[in-house]
Amino acid sequence: MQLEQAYRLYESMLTIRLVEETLVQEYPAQQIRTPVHLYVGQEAIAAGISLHLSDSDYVVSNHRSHGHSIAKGLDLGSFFKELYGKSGGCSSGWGGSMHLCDMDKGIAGTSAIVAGGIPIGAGLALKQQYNAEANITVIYFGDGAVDEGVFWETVNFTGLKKLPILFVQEDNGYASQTPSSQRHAYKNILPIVERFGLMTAELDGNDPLAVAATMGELIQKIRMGQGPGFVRCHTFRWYGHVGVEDDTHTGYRNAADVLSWRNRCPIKAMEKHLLVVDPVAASKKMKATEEIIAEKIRCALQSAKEAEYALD
Amino acid sequence: MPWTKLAADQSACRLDETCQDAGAGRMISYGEAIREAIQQSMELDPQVLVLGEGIDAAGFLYDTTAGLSERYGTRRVIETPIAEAAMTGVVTGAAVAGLRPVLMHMRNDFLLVSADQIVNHIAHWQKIFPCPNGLPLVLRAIVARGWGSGAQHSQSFHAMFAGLDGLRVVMPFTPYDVKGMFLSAVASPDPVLFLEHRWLYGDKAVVPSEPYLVPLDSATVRAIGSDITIVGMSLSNRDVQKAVETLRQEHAISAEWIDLRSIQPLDMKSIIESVQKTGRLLIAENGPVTMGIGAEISAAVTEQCWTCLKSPVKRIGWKGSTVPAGTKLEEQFYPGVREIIDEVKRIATYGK
Repeated sequence: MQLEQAYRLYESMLTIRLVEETLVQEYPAQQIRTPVHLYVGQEAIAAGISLHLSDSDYVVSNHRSHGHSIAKGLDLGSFFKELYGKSGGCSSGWGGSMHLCDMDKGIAGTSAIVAGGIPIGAGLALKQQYNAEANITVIYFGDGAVDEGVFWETVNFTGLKKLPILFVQEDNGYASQTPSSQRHAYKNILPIVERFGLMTAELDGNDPLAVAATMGELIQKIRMGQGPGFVRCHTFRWYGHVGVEDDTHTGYRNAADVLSWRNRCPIKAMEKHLLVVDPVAASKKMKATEEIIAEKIRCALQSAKEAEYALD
Repeated sequence: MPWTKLAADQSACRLDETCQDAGAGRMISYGEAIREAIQQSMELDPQVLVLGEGIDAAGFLYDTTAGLSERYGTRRVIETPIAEAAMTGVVTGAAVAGLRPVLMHMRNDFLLVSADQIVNHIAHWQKIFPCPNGLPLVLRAIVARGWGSGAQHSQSFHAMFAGLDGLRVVMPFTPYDVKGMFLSAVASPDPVLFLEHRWLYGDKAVVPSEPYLVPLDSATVRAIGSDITIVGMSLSNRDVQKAVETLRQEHAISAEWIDLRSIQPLDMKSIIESVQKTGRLLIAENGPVTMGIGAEISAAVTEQCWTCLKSPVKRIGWKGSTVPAGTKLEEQFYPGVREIIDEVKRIATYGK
């Protein structure tokens, strides 16, 4: 990976992390009155994919959409305003945390119904194919969404029409608190979706370099019209399904597992990489990047707090 | 934009149902009018795509899509899997991206398989996301009846979906309206649920051959009267029409007949104006009476013109929500001309 690209990947991941941590800090004040589903721990996936996307590529996301949207370029001011229910929010206050959107950035919409956005993504891709564009649609969903019939219907239609879609399964092992083992009759989804004509890959979703490299290759193939793709990214969310609490104490996740995943922080991995490939400047550059992001977040948060409430 | 031009041409030379010269008195059927409207919409705008299961199959969909794929190719006329939920999501995404898709559901009943997409996604999309170009999609669905079609092939969900203000719901009755309203539905920036009735496909009337628009939000007065207002919708209009005729000829009752046409939004203005004149109202629901659109009309009339009512608002419609299959059961289930006439006579003599 080029150094410049590596720094962009780092910046993207860190932006998501710092935004989410800001929410963790601010949420107890009860001024953000919308259920938040944090992306902390999963940053490498959205950042690694967005590295290869332009504003003309679409993303469709789910309830856990902060990371997907920010990586795709959602303005932080309009993001925070939306979460605060303020005027100037990306969905004018009507959406909240689970309905982020910015068509100019290709963020086509987010559905809070599990798998609800998946067929909508296929419709976006149908238009890209119809207009013979070289653009693609990325559809994000969790391991719970593949329990839904509409997921399989969409995979079938996508394979049938060879739509330019990248399906991204962020497999964090749990649908809310229910583990995959209690929901799936199969162990591995990949050979199944391959039967529908999808190119597949399986990834450590916490390895930013692997994510970026594999996604880059796959996205290029999809752009060239070689067919749709499906990536299963193993990852882990640090916080609970919803809210800003660590829910390990509730017992559905093993404390040792949580700790081992936390020790595999994608941002720490990226920092380590940068220190190796750019030993002289990395430390300083990363610090500067963090300061710039923190300042951006501070301004965006301030503007959201000061903005008027969105009214009808 | 081709649709803006069509609207402009329309206002320059308004074609209405009574204007015979434009179509030179050409008679075509309701089904042919739909096919012509689809074809003209595709001709007008290359962003119009039609999709559906059986869309390219001979004799399916009452020939309303016959010949389209030969003419426009399978990129624009898309045969689909039987996957109502996903396909409804697909047209939603296509509309978000700027196409104007039309999705065909062979029966109203099958719409419910895609209820998540319709209710949770389509009906809210324009509210929760900025949509400068709207969400221009059309969902066609057929209401059937008879020959034992029964519980899962005869339902009409106009009232159920009318509860969603982010979705237009229309039920055209005449060949003229079905063509003009279809073109308006495709032209509309809003999603439209376009409900057709199987029994209307053969009805013939004069239909202009050029494209024209009929509004998606207005009822129309089909017979002027002074003693009672009768509201019909889709097929129930057929019985209302006969009843109005008989009431005039045999019972000296002058009934005003309103064809609702649009279910969401409801054209309450036209209904209120009529009830202010007649003081009496009967709604002939093309569906179950309970929780039907007649209930909403009745509530709105009592809210808005209570003092002009001379008798209680009455409703007539299906006996329940489960449509039976047996021949005699069907006959008992659907009200007809006789029931409308009897109800009108009771209303007319209320308190006397």
